[in-house]
Amino acid sequence: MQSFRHLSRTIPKTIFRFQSTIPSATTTTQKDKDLTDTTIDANKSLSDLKPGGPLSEFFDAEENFGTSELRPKQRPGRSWTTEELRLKSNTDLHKLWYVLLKEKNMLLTMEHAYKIRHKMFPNPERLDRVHESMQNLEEVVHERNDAILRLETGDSATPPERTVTSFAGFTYKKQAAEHYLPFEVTGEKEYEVPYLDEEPYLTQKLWVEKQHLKKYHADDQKRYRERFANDDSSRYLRGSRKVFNRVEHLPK
Amino acid sequence: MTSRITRLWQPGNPQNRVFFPDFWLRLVETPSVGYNRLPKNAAKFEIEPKMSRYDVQEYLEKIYKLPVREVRIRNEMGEITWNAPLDHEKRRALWKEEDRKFAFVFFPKNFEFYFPTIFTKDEFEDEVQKVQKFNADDRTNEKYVNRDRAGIGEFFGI
Repeated sequence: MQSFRHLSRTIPKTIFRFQSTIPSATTTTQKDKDLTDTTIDANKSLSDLKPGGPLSEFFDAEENFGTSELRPKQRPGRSWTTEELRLKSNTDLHKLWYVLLKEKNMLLTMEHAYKIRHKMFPNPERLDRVHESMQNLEEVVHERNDAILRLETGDSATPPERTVTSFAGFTYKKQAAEHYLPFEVTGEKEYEVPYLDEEPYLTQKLWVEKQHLKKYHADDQKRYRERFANDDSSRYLRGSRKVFNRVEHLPK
Repeated sequence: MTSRITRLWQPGNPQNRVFFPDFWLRLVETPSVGYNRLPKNAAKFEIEPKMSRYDVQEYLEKIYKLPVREVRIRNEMGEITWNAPLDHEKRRALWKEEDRKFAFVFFPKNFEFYFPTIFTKDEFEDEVQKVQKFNADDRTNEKYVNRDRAGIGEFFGI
């Protein structure tokens, strides 16, 4: 892991420094390298003037750089709800997905920059809201997809699940995978096996017994604690106070 | 979407397409001096471990419209904290960081990218100055004023 000693307020003595904090950063205003470029090239596009140049889409608005909390105008709204998204066309949803994706990438980049310097990332709820919006969008798209597939093929759009038994005898649900050859040819099939061998059978019996005992002991403890909960008998416990210096020390 | 459902492809099938990719990328800083310095036509990204170099190239070309020449991948295992690091025989792992995957993306020669300066003012320095200013204030009066009135201090008037 690289050391970040040089990212402190002192001017770095080591030669190991990041591009984004150069020695004069702690003194007067620091302009971007892109902006201080004196040769004004007509071929340079607008994106070069933004922080990060051609990769400016990975960075936040410049007024948000280094802040601990965003100004009111820059603060985020709430996430997209499923009701709102259901009103949108498929093309709009498709475009929105990429807008959200790019926003997510930008927020991740900024968060990382703050994290490595042990600073607080402003308004981290933005990430959660984007994630929630994307989840809702996925749900709406899935609904539409599912409806069409059921109409046309009769199958659902959710990937089918299979119940699989592990080597220890535990059954769990697994998403069905596609195969090049059928199981009759390959001889591999991972589906639920009704009869267990000796070891998995014993493992399952012992597991159930263990779970039962755990529950029993937990209930026992609970009952024991409940017995003394509403009692005044705390003063009879060993190690109770024998010297009373203040009013609060007196037995209740 | 992408990372959860894999579809097989056989010759004759149409191109496998993903309409809602959920891969994430984050731009990572690199040193401006030393052997880890990157040329100005390169950038380092931390990517979701399920992405391949061709995924990264497609992603940047199609979504961000960047002219990607080459992508190189590096996997880094997360750090493990051991209960007894020096005892290699009997040590137990207490915690392991997540494994990370990095992509070094190379653009054409005329491409220029410099990581922007995000942090200009040092908030730590500001706070230190604030505390120094506070300490420099003369607070001798606070102790003596209203000293017979059980620690009210300066707030309530005489």
